[in-house]
Formats: sequence, structure tokens, C-alpha cells
Amino acid sequence: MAVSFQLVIDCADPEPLARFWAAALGYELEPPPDGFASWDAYWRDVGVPEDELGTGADCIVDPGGRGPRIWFQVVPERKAVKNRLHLDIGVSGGRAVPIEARRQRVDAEASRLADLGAVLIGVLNTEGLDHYAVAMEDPEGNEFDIN
Amino acid sequence: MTSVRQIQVTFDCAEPERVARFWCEVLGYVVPPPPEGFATWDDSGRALPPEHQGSASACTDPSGAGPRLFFQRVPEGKVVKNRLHLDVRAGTGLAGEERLAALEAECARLAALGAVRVRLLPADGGNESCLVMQDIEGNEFCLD
Repeated sequence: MAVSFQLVIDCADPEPLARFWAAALGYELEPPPDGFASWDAYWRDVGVPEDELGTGADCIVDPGGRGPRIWFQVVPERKAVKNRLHLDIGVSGGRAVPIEARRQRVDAEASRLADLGAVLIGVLNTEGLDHYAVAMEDPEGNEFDIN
Repeated sequence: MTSVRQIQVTFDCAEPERVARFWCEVLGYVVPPPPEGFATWDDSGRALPPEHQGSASACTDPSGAGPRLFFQRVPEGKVVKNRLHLDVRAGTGLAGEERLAALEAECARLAALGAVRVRLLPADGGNESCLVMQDIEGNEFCLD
């Protein structure tokens, strides 16, 4: 039995980033606990001071309960260098799928995410290697790949 | 409605195989079997050009539930705190002293494998306690 984990992504403004990644991954904003209309209502109830409220929704979850929860954590510092950890989104179906079909699936996903606010950085397509991926950045500049 | 996407977490590193083995120990993951036609990953690696040998490794959840982790060799070292990290669920469902004991025990196990204990963040009003660590190449992670 593997140990489960959640992913934590540092950010400046959690809710827009949470909404981007929910739309990208087919996740949903984590609803507040039962009996609370909002996360602020819940945090106020457990005693979090008023000046720490107002971050909005900052967690996303897989509605199927399978993939890891992702928490967008507010930090004071801005992104300074290329992230050393990044997410890869798999849409191609893997090497059993012909490369041309994979390319079309990856490009279609890149186009969908660009419409949501991601930026295309480049195509990763080494001559002679049976691999096609694109590199993008999310709305706060975090690198990710689609393959 | 978008279907749920399959994700993988990629780590930039200096020594991919070593870091992959460490994370196998943290998560109960396994290194996947080598490609067809090869008895070991070393054998398959030797079929690659020298510059690609040892350049990547991976580990997967044997149950298939958790995302694959991929480790790729990069020339640059780590310079700042990572903006993306894993919170490893070592104390789920536990509170107070019992939770602290579970986190410290897991910390001791991972420290023996080369991880570094950074600090304990005690429970506050809204959050349970959490123990910050670094893996064998300095990547931050939490036990929570």
C-alpha cells in the first residue's frame, strides 16, 4: 500500500490559479466542510484571525477521489528561477498510439489550456526519438509539460 | 466537462536513480520493470548513447492509484526553495501527541535514508502539526 500525498504549489493569488488547474486537470474546487457556506466561514469558526482570511478557494480535488489533492499556498516571494519540480499532463495515450495522433492530441490540449491562460513555451520533439510533448507555463509562470 | 487528466510529477535532479530509490522508500513506490528485452535498467541504459545513460529514472505506485514520479538529470543545481512540493501523509487521522510521535518516527526512518529534518511546524488554530524535511538532493517535502 503506497503512502498518499498532496501537492503544494506556492503562489501569489490562489483562487485564480486553483481555477486554472481545476479546468486543466478536470478537478474541482474543494467544497467547504459541511455546514459552512464558504472556506472563510469555516476558518473563522475554527479561530483563524480575520486578517488571515480572504484567500478564497485554494485547494482542488479529483472528483473521482483518485488523483492527489493540490493546495495553492500563498507565499510572500515571487518565482525566481525555473521550478525544479513540475507537472506533466498525459493526454496522448502513450507510445501505443501513433506519433501523429499523439501530436494532434497534445496540440489540441495545449490550445485548450492557452485559452485558459497558459503560455506555450516550446515543443519538445527530438528528431529520432518517439516522443512529442509541449512545454507551457501556468498563469503564475509555473512550468508544466503536456505529453 | 473535462475528464480527469493523468498527471506525473517530474523532479529535476543530479542523480535520478538515487533520488528515485529514495522516493520509493518514502511512498512505498517501486521502480517499474525495465523495457522489454532487457533484464535490468542498467542493461537498457547501456543501449543508449553515453550522454543519455543514467539521465532519467521513475517510480510508480504498485497499486496504480498515485501519480508516477519521474526524475530527470539536469545540469544546474538547486538554488532556491522549491515552489512545488509533496505533503506526505504520515499522520492522517491522528492529532496531538500521537500525531507528533508518528511524524517523528517517520522522520527518523527517512533521516536514516539520507533525508534532512528541517523543522517542526506545531499545530495552530486551523492546521495540524507538520514536519518539514528535505530529500537527498535538498527538495523540500512535509510529513503531515
